[in-house]
Amino acid sequence: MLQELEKKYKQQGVVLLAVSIDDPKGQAKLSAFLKDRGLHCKVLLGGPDHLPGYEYIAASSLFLVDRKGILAGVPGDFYYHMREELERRLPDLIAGAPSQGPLLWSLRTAPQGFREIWHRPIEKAPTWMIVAPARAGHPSEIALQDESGAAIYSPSGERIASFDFDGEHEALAAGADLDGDGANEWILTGDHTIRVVDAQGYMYWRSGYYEEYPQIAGVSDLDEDGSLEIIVRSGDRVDALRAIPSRLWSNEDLHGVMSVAVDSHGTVEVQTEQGIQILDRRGNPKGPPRRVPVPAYYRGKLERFQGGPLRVFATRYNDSADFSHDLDGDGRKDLLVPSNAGLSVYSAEGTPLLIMETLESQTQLLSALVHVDGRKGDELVVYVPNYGLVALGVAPIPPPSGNAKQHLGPRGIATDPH
Amino acid sequence: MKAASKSHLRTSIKLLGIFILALTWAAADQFVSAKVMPDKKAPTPPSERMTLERFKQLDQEATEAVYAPRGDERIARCEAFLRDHPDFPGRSWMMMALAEAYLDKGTFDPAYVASLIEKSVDEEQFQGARDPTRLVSRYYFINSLPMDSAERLLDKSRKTLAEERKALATEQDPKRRQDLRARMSYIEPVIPLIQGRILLARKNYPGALAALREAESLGNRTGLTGLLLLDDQDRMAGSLPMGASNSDWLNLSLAIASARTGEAAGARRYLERVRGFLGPVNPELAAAVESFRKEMNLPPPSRKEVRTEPVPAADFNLKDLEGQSVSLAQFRDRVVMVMFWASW
Repeated sequence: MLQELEKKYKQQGVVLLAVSIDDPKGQAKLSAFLKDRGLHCKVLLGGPDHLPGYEYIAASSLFLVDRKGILAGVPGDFYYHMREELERRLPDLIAGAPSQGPLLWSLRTAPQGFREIWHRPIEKAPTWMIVAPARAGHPSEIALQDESGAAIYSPSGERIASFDFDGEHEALAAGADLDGDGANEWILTGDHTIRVVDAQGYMYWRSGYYEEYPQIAGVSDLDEDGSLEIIVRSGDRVDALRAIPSRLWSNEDLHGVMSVAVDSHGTVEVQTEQGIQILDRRGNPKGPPRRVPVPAYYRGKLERFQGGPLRVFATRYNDSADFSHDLDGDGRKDLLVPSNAGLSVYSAEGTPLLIMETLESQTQLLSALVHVDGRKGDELVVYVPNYGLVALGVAPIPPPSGNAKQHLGPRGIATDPH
Repeated sequence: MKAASKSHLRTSIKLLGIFILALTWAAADQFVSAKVMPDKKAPTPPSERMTLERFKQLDQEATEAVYAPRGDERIARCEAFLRDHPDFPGRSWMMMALAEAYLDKGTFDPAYVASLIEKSVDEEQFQGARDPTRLVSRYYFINSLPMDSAERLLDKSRKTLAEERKALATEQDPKRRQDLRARMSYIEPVIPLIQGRILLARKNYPGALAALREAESLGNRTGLTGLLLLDDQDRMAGSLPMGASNSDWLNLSLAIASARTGEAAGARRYLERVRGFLGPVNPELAAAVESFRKEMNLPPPSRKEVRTEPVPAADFNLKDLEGQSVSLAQFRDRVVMVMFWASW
């Protein structure tokens, strides 16, 4: 189809470059394949790795470049009606009309004045993102993970530090200033242990051996000594580990643990078939378990102004809802729900504050609310393929700085469509 | 749950093995073969027996057929392989690959492709169970495969669910109970969802609406239709749409069924809950939403699109098939379509 279009517009200066993402073995057979299908466009050997600046998630991804070498279209523009979309755009590009920048995202619902605050290109596409929440006196930090390690970014998008993982099974699990000295620590989980490192990857300590993959349920100052404990779940076992390595408690009496949640007050709630069991600050059951009338997994609660908290449940495999930040700045935590192709943020009452659609599915993993500036409430940080890490919010425009050129803003300022 | 029942089966086979071993120790060989394996066949001569070496060869051959150049060649090689090797243990996988090859080519006999998919489910024994509901939702609606075949696949899922219910009643181990319950709470709402979509395809709109409402109320209990909110009195206080494939298809199907049964307000409300259709994650869903909007004469959802300032395309330097270096910069002053593609 593209070959036909190339033929149709060739005289007017349109060229098709077909970059093969086959591995070397597949590349050896390309000539035969092309002959078989009667293809004779310009084929380039790209290989299975992404070319820098060209991110896509599927084969048959099209980028369009105008006469001045400006990107005039990205795969998201062409997913549904490739031919129609090309037929619509090509004549303008042939005539030399200036290119519109590629579509980044669209907002169905957003707070008044919601806009891009900063954006930072990221060289290597990240696979995971976590945020260390703001604490009194110092702001949030963002950590992006790729296959080999992690990079830490300041709330204004500057890359602060980076480090490599210790083995391929490690992943970023949480970030927090555990000891209260003003610098964040990062908690990494491996198959059987957890490690606590600083922003440069210097290891403070490694936990003992866990039979089942350790999950970080949350961090909280359970013993009220000013430093935070890490609440770890491994199968049916729930531990609270102190910042300065020692065990505060370990509960191995639970059976059939379904989920563990730590709320913003530091209450540890464990769901089993019997219901939701609150653990006290020593890790012992507090009161009887609260029966759950549905076969769903407990994820956390929203504190409403009126009518008591709403408890949130999901399917077993859906544990990506994030309860730890406040988008609207009303003092209560909101709920960030990443989806297949975008994300929603709901207020504590369950009303949508933000519905953002993106072109790629990466936002499933790569979005978080971050405290960026002095404004009440948190900002949204999201990784957008072919663009970079973006902070969005209703914050005022920061004063231009030396590297303002890197912070190319979107042309349009997004406002509430309603 | 298939996996769970398989592991049961494995355990029983293991136990049986130990039992046979014990008998072997206790009695003469003849006694064992006479009692435990009464109709033992004469052993297959080594020349006709499948050996691991032979299996490896066949597996290699099968893989090459499945990854042969797309289109007629792939189809011909998969067909030939299936015809020539009725005893190959990976036939189920090959049948799915063949079905996909036909769908990819675009010209096919729907009944034949559906029969391949059904057979693939029946013959599965090598790489783990296939979930029939997933196959129906992935292939049947978009390719207009016969709905009778979809119904038969759905019946298989119903049977599995009934077996799981039975297993749960007697299972004591909390971990395995959890696995069973999680699997059941997925499949319970998905069965009426697929049933509803089949009825929609059959233009039985009231029937579809009833099935889809059942899917909704079951999915509301498990979180499949959205994040479930319970208030202090354990009453359902809402369900937050989350843009997962099943919940999006459910909401869109409910919108269509509502519209066709004269409930325009319901149709708009359900459509509003569909989330994940902008991206490439689910282009079929996006196309279905668009065509439904057109049919209903609904305006596209009000949304604010945000674009970047124009950015230069990153330059690259790659070899072409003749070994010549080609860079993007060479094509300055031309309009370039850069297409990433693969021959597989």
